[in-house]
Amino acid sequence: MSFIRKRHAGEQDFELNLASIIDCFTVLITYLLVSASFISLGALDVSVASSVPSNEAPPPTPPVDVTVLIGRSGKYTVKLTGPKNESVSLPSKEGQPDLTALTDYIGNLKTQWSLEAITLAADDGVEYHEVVKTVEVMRKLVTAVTFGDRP
Amino acid sequence: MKRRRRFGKRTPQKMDMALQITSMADIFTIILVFLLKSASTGVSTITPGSSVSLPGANFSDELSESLKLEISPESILLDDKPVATLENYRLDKADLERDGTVRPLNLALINQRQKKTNSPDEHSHLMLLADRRAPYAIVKTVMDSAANQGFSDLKLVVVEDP
Repeated sequence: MSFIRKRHAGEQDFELNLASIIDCFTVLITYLLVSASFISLGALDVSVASSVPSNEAPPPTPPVDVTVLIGRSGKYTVKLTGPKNESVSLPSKEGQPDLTALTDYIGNLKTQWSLEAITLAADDGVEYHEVVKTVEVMRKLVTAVTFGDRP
Repeated sequence: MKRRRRFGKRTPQKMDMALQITSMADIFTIILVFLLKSASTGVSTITPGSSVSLPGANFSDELSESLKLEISPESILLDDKPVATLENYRLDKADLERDGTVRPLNLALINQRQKKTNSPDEHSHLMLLADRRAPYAIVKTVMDSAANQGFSDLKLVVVEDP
């Protein structure tokens, strides 16, 4: 039994010239690698208190108004107004804002008051990344975070 | 002459060599398909400026493409076009309105608002890309300008921490 095919008359051996295809692929891959972004971006939804009415549905009216103020030294001040009036200071931990204490405190308020919205304010010199970290913590707990004026 | 002859004798036998590039073409095809797919799924046009280092976050909402507002140490940009100049995050007093908002940004946002009125399908969301070191004062000023022009719903763009 032989596996060697007999060449028919007129049949020719041909080979696809891949060199030019490789050239095109190299150029395309280089372009895509250069233009590719290797960081994954996300977003945190917030709103800003404004006198102009928004097209979106207004945030739920909270049973108690909670305002979180970020101090320049990393200290949080949580102010409650409405049925309960209270002001609680959460000191910084090793010079950094104590996010764990804030999470625990807001978590307790959420359980107690079915909290769904929080107002956030900060001192002028507070860096943006600290504000974002605070927004992130609060967005995990409540659905609406609004930037407002300092109380 | 003798030396040349000696070297001439050492010439190796000529062989027909062909690089096997079929497998290379296969690999390149796979890489190309992967890169094309990842390029088509991402929100490709959101690229912060070179002087902007975005803050990181573990939790984030969905990022949809909308009007882009960027705060870098040197300028405020709306859709990659500079609208106001900053000096180390500080605005020129001449650019400030009486209510503390940024005049050139207000004008640019009014223009954008008018464009959006012509195409009502677009969302009135605004993506805010601010440098992680930007002080809250400038961020709040820019946010107030946006809110006064009807862009009160913002998306703070962050780098997702792994």
